[in-house]
Amino acid sequence: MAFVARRLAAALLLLGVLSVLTYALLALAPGDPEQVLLGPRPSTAESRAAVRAQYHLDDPLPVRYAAWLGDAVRGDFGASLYSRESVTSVIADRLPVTAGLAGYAIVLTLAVGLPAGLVAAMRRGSPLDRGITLSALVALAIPPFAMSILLLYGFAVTLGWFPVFGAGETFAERVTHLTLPAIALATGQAAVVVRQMRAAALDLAGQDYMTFARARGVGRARYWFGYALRNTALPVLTVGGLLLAANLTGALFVERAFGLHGVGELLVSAVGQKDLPVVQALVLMGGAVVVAVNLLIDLAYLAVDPRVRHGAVAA
Amino acid sequence: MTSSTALARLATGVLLVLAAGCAGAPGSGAAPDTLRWALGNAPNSLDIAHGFNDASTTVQFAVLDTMVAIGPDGQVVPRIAASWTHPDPHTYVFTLREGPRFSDGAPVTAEDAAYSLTRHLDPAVTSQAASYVTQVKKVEVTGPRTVKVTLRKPSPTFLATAALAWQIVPKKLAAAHPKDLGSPEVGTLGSGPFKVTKFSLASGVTLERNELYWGPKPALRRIEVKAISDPETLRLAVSSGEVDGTNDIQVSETRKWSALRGVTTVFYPANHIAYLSLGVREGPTKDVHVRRAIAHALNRGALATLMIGGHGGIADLMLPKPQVAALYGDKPPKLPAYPYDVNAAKAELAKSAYPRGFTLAAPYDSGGDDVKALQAIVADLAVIGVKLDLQPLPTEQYRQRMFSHQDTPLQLVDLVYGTPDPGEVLPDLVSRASAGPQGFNFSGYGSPETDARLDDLGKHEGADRAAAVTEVLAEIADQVPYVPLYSREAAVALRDRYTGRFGTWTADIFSGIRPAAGA
Repeated sequence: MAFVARRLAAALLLLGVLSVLTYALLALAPGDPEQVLLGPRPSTAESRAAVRAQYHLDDPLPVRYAAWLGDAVRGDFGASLYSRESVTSVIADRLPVTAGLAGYAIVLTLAVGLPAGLVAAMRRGSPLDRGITLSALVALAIPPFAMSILLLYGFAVTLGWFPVFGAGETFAERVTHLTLPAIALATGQAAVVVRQMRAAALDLAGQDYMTFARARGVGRARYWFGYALRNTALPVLTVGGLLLAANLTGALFVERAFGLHGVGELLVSAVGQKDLPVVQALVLMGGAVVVAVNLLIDLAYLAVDPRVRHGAVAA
Repeated sequence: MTSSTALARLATGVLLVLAAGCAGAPGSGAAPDTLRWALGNAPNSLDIAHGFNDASTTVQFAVLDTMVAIGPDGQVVPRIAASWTHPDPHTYVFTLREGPRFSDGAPVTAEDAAYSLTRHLDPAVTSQAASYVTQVKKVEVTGPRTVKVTLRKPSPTFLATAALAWQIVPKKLAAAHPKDLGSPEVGTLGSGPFKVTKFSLASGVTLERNELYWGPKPALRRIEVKAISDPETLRLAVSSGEVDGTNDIQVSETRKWSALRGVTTVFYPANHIAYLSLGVREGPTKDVHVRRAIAHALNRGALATLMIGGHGGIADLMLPKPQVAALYGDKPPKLPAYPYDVNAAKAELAKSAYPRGFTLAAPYDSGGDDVKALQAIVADLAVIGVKLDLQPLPTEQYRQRMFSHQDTPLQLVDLVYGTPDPGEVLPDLVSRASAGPQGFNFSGYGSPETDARLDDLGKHEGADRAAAVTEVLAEIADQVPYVPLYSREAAVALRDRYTGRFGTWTADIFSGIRPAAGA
């Protein structure tokens, strides 16, 4: 428990630093929220003055940050300058799409990457291994947005199996709509997992306990899952967790290509519009996601690998 | 072999996922009176005070009535106002139509109409349309159905801008939400042909026919508006039939759109002008001979072909072509022009203080395709010894530089306007008031005499007004603070299940769309 408490304290500190940095960097970057609030048409001197007063744009930076922080700790993240809607509902509108996409992609990534990497390692040097390694290399080399366009042309336009854009309304629609984006996102990531898995499992085949397990006549499922997978799980868990965190915050190119209004797309447009309340909330959310995922990975280490557990207790 | 079985299972798994996907794939079985429309951006507000941009106004004009409207030839026509009088140059008295009701059933009152205009002047609203109504001094309800507007000084532009900015909303709702009327949380309420049933920045806008609408009943029952920000995806969505049309077509992409099967792309003149702004306050471009030399050196025909293909043409006057047509009909004035002539350009340059040429900084927005035009301009100007130093800047940084009016001796400006009245354009271009930061007088040109001429624009109506506009245009043509380059067309793509009529002044595009016969 002390371990978890320590991690949470560190996380809070991290989020604090993150919010100061984002606030300062965005304020220092060129452009002014005034432009977003007044729109692209000519503005009058009166409305410019009114906007600056209403949004405290002329207050010194630390004062503005303190005001934001005061509201934020009370759970009030303000309203978007662009849509005038509360930041929480802006994000709540988009999170389900991104979370669905991220979850779907990570399932595909692991479903393909783990077995392929494991098999490649166990059959090291065989044509199968070479085939898998080469495919992974190719998959890694295709940028997700190029993959998106390829999939769109192939499966959505030519074959008409999948919709071209949007996220759908019902659960079934959501699954159809997110399939191509999830594949586009998972392609490169599966390749990373394949390589990671292969590296982690390379010397597995030669291990005495694997040979012994097989000699004992251990069942196939137990051999692969209980012995092979479990012994190589740690590095793969780490990579998988990081990929999930990345998908939750930065699937921008794929989101754009498939016309999905997700969190990645929101972040980029909010930065462009200097929509500070939205950017701040998103950065904090991203930070919290990374911290949470890392914490979960560490906890998973304890569950998966008894050696870590004993080490932790001893320490 | 263990491995091959594992692979086979894996392959089956992937196929199953794919098959699950196919099962729910979309058909194009939507009812023909439901239109699925795509925009490049999501509307951010259903109130022009906070969403004065193409995506937002496209939806606003389908939902909200305006006091008056712009007719097909650019003339101002009645809308919520059945008629109006103009007893003296400072005064307009509008008489409201009998019968319009908001989509919740409440009648549209003179109070609502008056408040809908004055709210743009309220600093608490910080309206994006405020600059369009600065000439308004007072708005009074003078009777149960009459509203009197008093202007600070005479302005024929007022009626045209009223067709744009004077959207009628219920006073009660607007007064309760000065800052967030039209947001997804507050929404809006109008008396127009459609009403909003859903509005989200992420999943789009749904409109349904307003059964209480006082005007002709629109043919469409339901409209689903979606935002697709990637232009390629947008085109694929229309091509595959997942959306029925869009009015968000880049001019550089028109060939691709015209080639789509089952889709008709309609072009019409946009209220647009692209021009070169030359800073007159300092540096070589302070010299009028330099500015004339630059104007002569530009091959505008080639530039127009490069940038807009056949969809538009060279701009001769410093006004969008539809405004020229609305004011002068088909007889625009003949003013000094600077045809493409390298020798004339060199001769002008020889008369300047820089006969051998010079180098000029040209900052530009690296986010758009301005660079394409600028590279052609660089080549043209190099011939007479004027070297441009292109400075790419990120969009935000460029906008900041542009509106600071600092270090911008030469820049490409590309603007779309909202009304048929030159009064929307000329004061912005050459008045001293808009030469400061945030103003649209990018060249910094201006003098007390010019300001007097601009003032004159407001005093005249009819043929005299055309003469007054010509005077300002002649001054611009003579002094060349700006070089007009080209005016482009706008386009609407519509799948063949639908037909529609669109023009430069069509504010509400949805009311003009109907299912095609036999669809």
